[in-house]
Order: sequence, then structure tokens, then C-alpha cells
Amino acid sequence: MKNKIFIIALFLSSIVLMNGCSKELNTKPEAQLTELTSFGDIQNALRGCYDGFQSANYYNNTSNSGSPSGWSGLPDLMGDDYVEALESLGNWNAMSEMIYAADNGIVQGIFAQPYEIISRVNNVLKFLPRFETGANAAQAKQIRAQVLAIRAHAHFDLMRYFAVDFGRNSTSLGVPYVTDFDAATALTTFPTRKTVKEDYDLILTDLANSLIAFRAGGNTTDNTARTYIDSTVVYAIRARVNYYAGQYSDVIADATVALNNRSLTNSAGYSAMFTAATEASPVTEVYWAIPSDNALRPGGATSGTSASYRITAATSAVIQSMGGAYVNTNVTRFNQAGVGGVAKTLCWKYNGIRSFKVYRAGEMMLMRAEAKQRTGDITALTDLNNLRTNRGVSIGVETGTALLNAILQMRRVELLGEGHRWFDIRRSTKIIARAECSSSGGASRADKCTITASERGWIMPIPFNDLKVNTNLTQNPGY
Amino acid sequence: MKKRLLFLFVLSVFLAGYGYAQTKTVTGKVTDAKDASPLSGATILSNGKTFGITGTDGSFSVKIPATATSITISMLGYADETARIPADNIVNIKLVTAETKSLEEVVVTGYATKQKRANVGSASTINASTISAQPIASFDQLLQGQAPGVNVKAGSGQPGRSADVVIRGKGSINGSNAPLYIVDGVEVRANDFSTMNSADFENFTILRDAASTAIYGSRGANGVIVITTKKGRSGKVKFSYDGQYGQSLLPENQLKLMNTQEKLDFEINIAGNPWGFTPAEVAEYRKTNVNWDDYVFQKGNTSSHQLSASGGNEKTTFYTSVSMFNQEGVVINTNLKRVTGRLNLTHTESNVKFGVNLSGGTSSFQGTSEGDQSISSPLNTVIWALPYEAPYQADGSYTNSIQFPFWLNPIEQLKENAGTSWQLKATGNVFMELKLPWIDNLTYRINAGGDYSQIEGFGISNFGTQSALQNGALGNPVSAEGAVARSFDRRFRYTITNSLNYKTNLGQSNDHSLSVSVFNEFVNVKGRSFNYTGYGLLLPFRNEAGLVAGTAANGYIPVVGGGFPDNSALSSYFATADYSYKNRYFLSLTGRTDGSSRLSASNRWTTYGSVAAGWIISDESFFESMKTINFLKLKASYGTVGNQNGIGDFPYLQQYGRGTYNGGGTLQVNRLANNDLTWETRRTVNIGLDFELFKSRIRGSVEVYNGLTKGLYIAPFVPSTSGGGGTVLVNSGSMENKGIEATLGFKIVDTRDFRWNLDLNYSYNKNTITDLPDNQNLQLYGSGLALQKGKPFNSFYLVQYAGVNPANGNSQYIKADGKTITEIYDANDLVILGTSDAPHNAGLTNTFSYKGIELSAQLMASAGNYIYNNARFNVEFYQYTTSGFAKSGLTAWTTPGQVTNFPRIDEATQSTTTRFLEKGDFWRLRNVTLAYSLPKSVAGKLGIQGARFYVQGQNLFTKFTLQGWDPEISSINGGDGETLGGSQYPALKTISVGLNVTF
Repeated sequence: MKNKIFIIALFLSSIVLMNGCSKELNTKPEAQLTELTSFGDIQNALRGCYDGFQSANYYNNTSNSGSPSGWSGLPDLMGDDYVEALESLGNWNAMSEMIYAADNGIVQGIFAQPYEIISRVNNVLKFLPRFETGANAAQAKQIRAQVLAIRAHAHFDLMRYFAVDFGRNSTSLGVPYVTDFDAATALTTFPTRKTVKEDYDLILTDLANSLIAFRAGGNTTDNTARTYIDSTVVYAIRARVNYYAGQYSDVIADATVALNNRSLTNSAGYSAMFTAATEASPVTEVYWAIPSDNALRPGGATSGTSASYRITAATSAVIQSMGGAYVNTNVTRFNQAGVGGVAKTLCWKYNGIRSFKVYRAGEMMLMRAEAKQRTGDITALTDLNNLRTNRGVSIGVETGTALLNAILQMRRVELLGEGHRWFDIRRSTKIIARAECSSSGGASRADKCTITASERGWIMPIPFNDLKVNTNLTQNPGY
Repeated sequence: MKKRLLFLFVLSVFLAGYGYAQTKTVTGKVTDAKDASPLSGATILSNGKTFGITGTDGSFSVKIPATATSITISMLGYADETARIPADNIVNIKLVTAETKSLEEVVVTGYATKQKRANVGSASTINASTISAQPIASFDQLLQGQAPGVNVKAGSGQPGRSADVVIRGKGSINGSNAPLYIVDGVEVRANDFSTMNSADFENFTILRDAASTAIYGSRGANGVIVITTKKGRSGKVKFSYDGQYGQSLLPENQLKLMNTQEKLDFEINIAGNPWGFTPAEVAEYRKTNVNWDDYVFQKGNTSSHQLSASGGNEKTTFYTSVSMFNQEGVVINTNLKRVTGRLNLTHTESNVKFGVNLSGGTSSFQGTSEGDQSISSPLNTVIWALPYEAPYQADGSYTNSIQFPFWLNPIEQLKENAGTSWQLKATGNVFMELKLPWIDNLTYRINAGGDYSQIEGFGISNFGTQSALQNGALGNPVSAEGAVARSFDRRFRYTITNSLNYKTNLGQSNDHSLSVSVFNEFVNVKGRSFNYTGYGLLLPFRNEAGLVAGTAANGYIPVVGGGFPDNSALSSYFATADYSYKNRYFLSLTGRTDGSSRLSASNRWTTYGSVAAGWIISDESFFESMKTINFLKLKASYGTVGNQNGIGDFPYLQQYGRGTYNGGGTLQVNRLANNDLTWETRRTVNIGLDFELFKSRIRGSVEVYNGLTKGLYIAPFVPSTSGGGGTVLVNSGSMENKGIEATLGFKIVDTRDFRWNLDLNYSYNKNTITDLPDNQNLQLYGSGLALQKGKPFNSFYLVQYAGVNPANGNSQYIKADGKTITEIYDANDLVILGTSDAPHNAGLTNTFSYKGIELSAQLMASAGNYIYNNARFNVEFYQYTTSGFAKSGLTAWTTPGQVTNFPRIDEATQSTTTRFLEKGDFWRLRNVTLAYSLPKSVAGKLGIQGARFYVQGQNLFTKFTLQGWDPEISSINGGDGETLGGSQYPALKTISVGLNVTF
């Protein structure tokens, strides 16, 4: 008996001592990668950059969530084409009334997400060079082209909210331009804000280098769903950047390249473009779309049966008077039943789960028309009428200011619900006058019906948390 | 005054003479009553004083005063035995294993059992029998108010929920602050207590200071709660039945809401008729006045039954039990059903002792979500319901509210879409103790234990219910056709401990006692999980069978998740040495080295230790004059311990998370690497005084401590511009917890028939952040909180609300300068305010017993903390006037000159202000029990050993100001327990009757 027990004890203790050695402490995560090693990892990391756009901080816009949705729902619900509906839970009220302070959570999300994507880009760029020679060289160069374009696009989107102004040579405060990612110094890297001019320069450099890389590696392949950036998208990005900067000849040049590559579709194509059915193989007009992946809901705040924001009566009337593709039920729905007996007009482009169209031909045509008009090019009207024809809207013969106003109105209708309006007001009048405030039909308050150009909210605050940590950042005026 | 001086003088002269009184030598032998083996190290006392210790052969020889008529033998694990000294001065004593009464005198550290007398660390031992009859499913809640320095916040009355337990203040910021639970040497998660039977627990010991927890190393950095289950005793088999039946009642909500008349008046006259009702509609709505509480809450029944048997012979003892516990919550369709079983077996064979402790349990839990702000959580929607809407329509279907889809009928949610989870838990350990033959008193012990737990979760959103329809209304048509979600998590942890222990007594009269142990321990945790949500619940089955297969056209594509969540290991080598001289002077040393898989290979290992000393002053000869103080012990300890709890399994590695883009896989950094990440260290100093006065009629202790955590685990705010997921864990800054703990027990009346005991405990903990990363003064932390040097952890960071300007009804705030009043909310005016962690905690237990009748009451109190009431924010928010609203809204400012504290209703309500900050102070009558035990004589006639009947009330009274259901806010309610987020489950107020029969 005794001997047996000794043997058992020795056996057990030897097992334990073996267990106790350091090797057993070398556990490895099984649901996370710790390093990018193969080219396949790089390709996944490239998609990881794109994946950042599906965030609720960027293009996703879940209903009533109060998600930042900085470049899909928010610029519309903050603009004057929308009014807060009785259905609203008030989660975006501080945004549409522009009463946000520096510690606003939505503002924080808007500021953080582009930099999150940029850090992914910069991480890919760190690992990329070793694949740019050898078997994967061409594909690696395509990846370089795409991530540089993403970096430019994301920085530009930051400027749209946080830059003090948009002058091409402006020395006003822009945003920090980040080109490096290093985990070891993440807590101690405190970039300063570039000037607006410097930002433009860096954005345009990234875009130029993107085009160079595309030339070297060839254009993006396997892109039927238009979910990846190709060279056409780079021209489109550059056209938009120059449009904000007022560089109209450059707008015309780049928009022309883009439109030559992928042209406008007709009226039927326009309304089909926003259906889920065409997502896998969109019409030619779509340049870059963020795929839904069965989850993205870019219009959660502004569509559906319980939209927090509905189209104003005034804008609704404009859409109806234009008719054509704009009154197609895939695009706009009128007289939708609402709380309090309000008949709502809703933008139906992004009702439910949809891909989000970031760049498309309609915007190019409008920017080119406006650029031409502003530079005295008489073909501006041709561009506008071209668009009208392709939308089933009757053509016109406007000139001068009437033509400009017609282009701008067309822009409002054509791009409604696609994340442009607030930026357009910001670049122009900086005045919002809502008519349906504080009546029983709207949730906005009477004293916030009119927002004037002097409102501090036209430039978003640098988030309080970032200012606290990074003392190199300068706050925007008024906060 | 003069008289007293004279008396003292006389007394001291008398006592001095006594010291030189005659002595006699008493000899004898102490043996184990069971196997007659000699017992070494037993203490020989007379009249409360120690005179010596038995040698290795169990014999002793002590010189005691000639006047002494009896001696007492005391030994750990055995009941004290007092014997008369016969004329020949030879006393042979057999000791029997300790019974319940003497357990109070023992401190179980999990690796060893020490006499309380010899314990020099900070520990409290509580006899489980005094509290285990409380009708609470999760054992950790029972700890409330039982011992000083243990802060228990239940947070919820939902059956089976575990509490937040913090010992001696929070010592970590981003690491864990939860104590370590050890059941029979095996680590157990607090979440699993709902599937364990607390009636099987014999006692539990709370280890607080570094000296006591050092043997648990890094696992015990937040304190340890050691639970020992019941063991069998040799003798006739004893059966015991415990049964209980009770009913839980709904307490009163201190957040007052409007009734129909008030609500409609408010909407029409104050809020500007937000629904746009016509006068006719208003008149119609006025006819309905519903208290939704009547439909959502119920009287919950609780019942439990347990049958246990224990017994054995000289060699083998056993304890076994089966139990059933059913508890309904006060919310309809919430309940816990549990069945457990246990077998504890010990066998002794010459030099070997081995045994097993096995327990298993299964529980099914039907619950409702808590601590969220969801518009589908019944505990929110019951508050946000409109009193002028009836719960059911005329045809019996659930009301489709005008608030839909932003409000779901809570009755339907609870009845039709209830979520269920099933837990299966098994713990077991085997141990073997071997007295090695080569050296006397050298013992080898191995303890191997495993803890397996699995939880299967099930959620459903039935087709046609408001929950499913809501998805359609909010633009998610796939989920609108019903969905089924199921999850499965399993975890297994094993712990293997090897130890060698050597005990010896040295010196001529065996005055020196030494016990040395070396240990090796290995702990490994592995987990696996999966979950999925299937869509298209169109067939008439309320489970996966109801799902229609997904196609590209119908879009019913399931969402799948899971993986291998846990994978960690901890390896330790440690040694302890306990030395005592004359059983009066004590010294304990521990040294330990720990290696953790959670840290990089270069920072993996750490070494630390502790030293503790104790001195029983009352045993000194100079103390003999102090008649009133019959026991006085001074103890002190100093030690450090490393911590790596709650930081995740791979916090130092750069990690890429996964995602999907255009149907392809994605990888992106979601955690930044920190190769320098190392152990968080805590150093604790503890000084304590244990005393007993007036022949132990008053017993008490006072302890002061100071704990300093260095290299705090902090997940600082990463500059947005750095990206990388914004998540990194660093060691930076330091935090101090210092405090005082006192216990005082009075045997006010101690006669044979009538006893009156009063036990008090109080603790005060002061937490201070002493250093922050990069020498910063302020670090952002959480929501509405910040860390500031010199201030406590979890301090609120809000703009101070200064009431309403009577002229215009605007909210006013105090600017950062502390005096200027402004109407403009500005983030620059955020200031550090009070903390959410209560510094003052106290407990009181009062017991009367007269013959077989016992009446006991337990009170507990907590004070000094603040709670952010987000639940109130949601019923005072300017945009939610269309939902159920706080009664205070009736006082909203409407006319110039009106003095009120509620601003005009059309002003944007700012959340990060002190308007929603409330005091968390409370005291509560935790338990009242009236029990009657049958006299032995009557029991004998009935053929049973004993019977006890009782009636008890749980949480019968609570005094608090927080506007909510209950003031005990924990992490269940939101954040780190600083926020009452919403959907609060009321605490159970239970009255029950019970019966215990032994036969």
C-alpha cells in the first residue's frame, strides 16, 4: 500500500513539475493575428482600411442610434433639406441644431474614425515595400495606389468638418496630416494642425502618387461591385478636393477624365442604382461604393418608416416639381404616414441595408457644370442639361446667375441624402432657416430654427479629449 | 478619583505577589480521539494563559500555578478540551475534530489552517451557517455587511446575478478589482455562484492584507475569499433536511413618474403637445390610467430544498448533499431553477490521507436585460410607458403604442421573447497528504482541482412580435421576420498544487515552533465559445426548427461568432515559514515567484514576498495586572504582490481584429502593442490590534492599512491621430488605498437561557490617485469621469449645475473658476467632483436568543459616494416628453419669475452636469430572522436529533435618496458602478419561512 502511494505521488508530482515549466506559459491568441507576414495578410489589411468606412462613425447610420455617421447621414440631417421629425429620439438633436460643445461624443467619433483608417493605411505602407518587387509587385503597387487615395480621401473628409476654411492657399488651421503609424509611440505622438494649404498640398501629393502607382501596377482588378478604389476614383477625389478649394480648371479636367471613364446613366439607371439588387454589379455611374455586407445602413436617420429626420416641405416641393427619376419610389417617397398625423417626405435612396455610393458620375457632372459656369465656360449649361436629360427632368436655357442657381438646386436634389448638404452650406452662405420648427410636426425647437453665419458650430470643435492629451492641437474659434 | 488610585495600587500589589506564587508541574499526553495518534504542537493553557506546547510524541510537561484546577488544550482543527487536574498531576487528553463552535477560532487560508491566535495577517472568518439560509441564489451577495473592508454592491435583484465585491478599495484602474474566490482550493468565478449551493459551505475566510494573500500570489492581489465546504465527521450518519418557501415583493421606486392626468396636463400645458393631440383625443386618453408596474411586476415565489448526509468511521468520513433552488424574480417570467449535488470524501490510512470534493450543478435562468438604455428592455419600457395607454387591446393582443417602434410592450417582450440561459458547472478536487517516512513531520501534499463551467444562451425574437416588427420599421427587414440566437461558452480551469511541509518544535521545552512549506502551483484556463443568430423564424417552432434556410433572395444569412476566448496559464513557486515562540511571538514569511502567460517572455516572471509578525501582549507577565483585558494581540504585516488580473489574455501583443469588406476578410489593428507591459505591483502595510475584554464578553479588532499600487494598468486615451484602434494598456501611475477597519462584538447578556449578542463592523477606505502617466495632472477615464492626481479613482468629471434662472428658465452652470454663473454649457467648465466608490461601509448584527428562540437582525450601511442617474436623465430629457416622464417635469419652468429646479422643457438637456448626480448613501435592514429550535428532549421523543423553524425577511427596509429602485449600484447597472444606466432590476424584498430537521 505504502509503496503504491509513493509511486503515485512521484508520478503526479513529476507531471506537475513538467507542467510548471515556462514553456506552458507561451500561449498564443487564436482569434487575433499579431503580425502581417504574408501577402495575403497585406490584402486582408488593405480590406481592413476600407472596412473602416463601414463604421457607424463614417458611412453607417443606424436608425435613432445617434451614431456620428459623419459622411453619410449627418451632413444631410444637419442641413436645411431635413427637419427633425416627431419620431426622433433626439439623439442627433444637438447636431442638427448645431449646439455641440467640444466634449460632444458624435464630434469625437467624427474626428477619430478617419485617423483610425489613416493609421491602417500607414501600417499597410510599412509592410508593403517588401512585396513591391517579385511575384506580387503589380498587385502590391495597386495596393499602394489604393491606400494613398484612401489616406487623401480621409484627410479631406476631416477638413470638411474641422478646417477653419477651404481657401486653396489659406493659412488658416486645417487638420493634422498623419503619414506614419508606430504602436510604440502612439501615446506620445502629438501632431500639430497643418494649415489648410499644407493639407491640400499633402492630399494632392498622395493622390498624384496614387495615380503613379496605378500606372506602375495597373488598375484595380476584380472590382465589379466598385467597392475598391481605381484610378477613376482618384480623379473623382481630386475633382472634389479642387472643387472645395475653388480650383475650377482642375475640377473640369479631373471630372472630365472620370466622366470619360465612367459616364452618367439614364433615369432608370439612377433609380436602380439605389436598390439593393444592383449592389453586386452597379450601373456605370457608380465609381466607389462602400458595400453593405448585409449590415450597412447609410440612411438610418433619414429613411425608413420611423426616420428621425424627414425632408422639409420646401425641398419636397422642389423634388416634386423636378419630377423624373427623383420622384421614383426607389429615390423619394411622398406622403408617408408619420407620428402626429404628419405626412412625411422621405429620401428612399438608403432605406434599409444598402451600399453607400461615395463618388459617382452625377456629382462629377454637377461639379464640372458649376466649375464651368464659374469660369465662364458656356458648356456649363450643356453639362446641366445632360444631367437633366439623364434624370428625366426637363432641360432649360438658363444663363448667368440663374444657371448657377439651377446647378446648385440640381446639386441639392441630385445628391440629396448622400452626405453633401451641410458642407455645401458651410462653403457658401452658412445660413440655415428651417420652416417647420416647433410646430406640432417637428421636433426642432423654435429658437433653433434659424442658424446664422456667425454660429461657432460651422467649424466643428477639436474634441475635448484630444485637446487634453495633445496640447499641440489648437482649438477652433468659439469653443 | 482618589479611591480608584488606591484600588489600582492594591490590585497591583496583589498581582505582583501572585506572580511569585507557587507552581506545580503537570504532565500528560495529547492524542487524537479517532486514531490515538499523538498530537504535537497543541497548546497548554490554564486560565487563558499559555504555558507550553506538546512535543512530537504528544507529551507535555508544564509548570502552572499551584492554584490552577484545570488545564485547557488547544490545537488547530480540534475542539478545545478542558480537563480537571487530578491529584497526581497527570492529564491524558484525547482531542476531537473541531466542531462548529470552535471554527471561529480558526483561519483557513486555503493552503493551511491556522489558529486565529497565531494568525498575523488580516483575515476575517465567518461561519456560513449564519447567513446561508438567506434566499439569495448567488453566494457573493451574502457577504454583504459581514466583515469590515468588504464592499458588496448587489446591483440587481434578478435571480442569480452576482454582486460587485471589492476588498479594501479598488487598487487597479484597468485591471480587475474582483477578489479571488477559492472553494476547497479550487478557483471559482463569481458568475458561477448562481450554480453552486451555498448551503454546502461551512465557512469562509476573507484574506485582506499582503501577508495573508501572499500564498495566492498574483491571483490574490485583490484579496481572497476562501470557502470551505462541509466535511463529514466520524460517527453515526446524520441526515439533514432544509426547506424554505418565500415570496418576494416589489419595493417602491423612488423615481416618481406621472400618472395619466399629470402626464396629459404636462404634455398639453408644458411640453407643447408633442403628439399633436386634439382636445377630443386628450379627453379620450384621460379615461385610461394604467400603472404599468402592475403588469410587469409580480410577487415572486422562492423555494428551496436540500437533503444532506454526513458521517463516517475512524478512517473514512463523507458529506453529501443534493439541493434544489427555485426563485422567481419580481419581474414576470424571470427566474432561476437550480439543482446541485456534492460529495466530499476523506480517507485516512496510516501515513496517508486523501480525499475528493466533487460538486456539480445545473441551472436554468430566464432573465431580462439590465443596465442598458435600450428601447426594447422591459425594465426601461415599463418606465417609459404611457399611463394613458392600456397594456392590452380589446382583442387581448398587446398594445401597439403610439410610441412604436421606439417602445416595445414590456409584457410582450417578457412573455413572448424571453431569453434563457442554461449553466452547467462541475468543480472537483482530489488531494493526498503523505507523511514522509524519512523525516518526522515532513508532509507532502498534492491538490489537483478542476472547474468546468458552460453556459448556453438562447434569445428569440418571434415573428409578428413588436420586437421583430421594430426591425422592419427601423430598416432591417431581415430581422423583421423573427430571429433565434444561441451561444455556447465553456471554460475549464485546472489548478495543481504540490507542497512539502515540515513542522518542528525546538528548544528544551519545545518553546520554538516552526513550520516551513514549499509549493509549486500551476493554473491553466482554456475556453471555447460560439454563437450564431439565425433569421427567418417563419415556421411555428420557437427554436431553430422554426428557421427557414437562407438564400440570396430571402437574405436569411446567419451571423456566426465565437472562437477560443480564454487561454492563459500561471506558474508559481513559493515558500512560507511560520515561526512562533512560546505561542506568543509569531513571525511569518512568504516568498514567491510567479510567471504569467499574459505578459511577454521578458516581463513574465516576478518575485515578491511578505513578512508579518504578531505578539500576544496579554500573555506577558507585565500584563497580568490588566484584568479587564484578557486578550490582546498586536500584529503587523508588510508585503508586495503582483497583479495581472483582468487585463485580457494577450494585452502586450499588437492584435489585428477581423472583419468583412465586400464579402472578403479584413484585418486591422485593434490593440496597440506594448512590449514593456509588466506586472502591476501592490504593496500593503497592515497593523492590527485584536482584543478581548471582560472575559471575552467584548471582542474586537482594529486594523489600519495602507496599500499602494504602482505601475497601474491604465488604458489611456490614445490621441485620435494615432489610430490603431485607440486601445493600449500601459503600466503607469500609482494609486493609494488607506483605511481603517474595526469590528466589535458584545455578548451583552450571556446566560444559559438568554443571550444577546451585538456585532458591529465599520470600515473606511480612502482612495487617492498619487501619480498619473507622463506626470499628467488629469487623465480622461470613462464617461463623465476623470482621474486626477490627489483625488479618488472614479471621481466624477462634470459641469456643476446651478439651478434655473427664474427670468428665462435656462439652466445655469458654474464656470471652472467656481463662482461665475453662466447659462452656456462649456466643456472647459468640467470639474472633478466626488467619487462613486463609497468610502464608508458598516454592518451590524444583533441577535437575541431565549431558550430555543432566536431573533436576529442584520443591518448594513454605505455612505459617501455619488451615482450618476442616467435613468432619471432619460425621463427628464427635453425630447422625451412623448414617453413616460418624471413627475418633476410638472415643475418645469414656464413663466418668468418662476422659481424651480427644472429648466424650461424646450431647453436642450445637457447630460454631463451635476443635475443628474445623486448621493449614494443608504442603509438597509438586510435580514431579520426569527427562529425556533425544538428542545432536545422533544426532538428525542419525535425520533429526530433536532428541528429548527424560522421566518425571515430580506431587505425589508432600505433608506436611500437615489431616485431609482435601489441604491446598490454595481457594474451591472452601468460602467464601473458609477452610473445607474437604465433598466434597473429592483432588489428582492423577500419574506420566507423555513425548516431544518436533522435525524
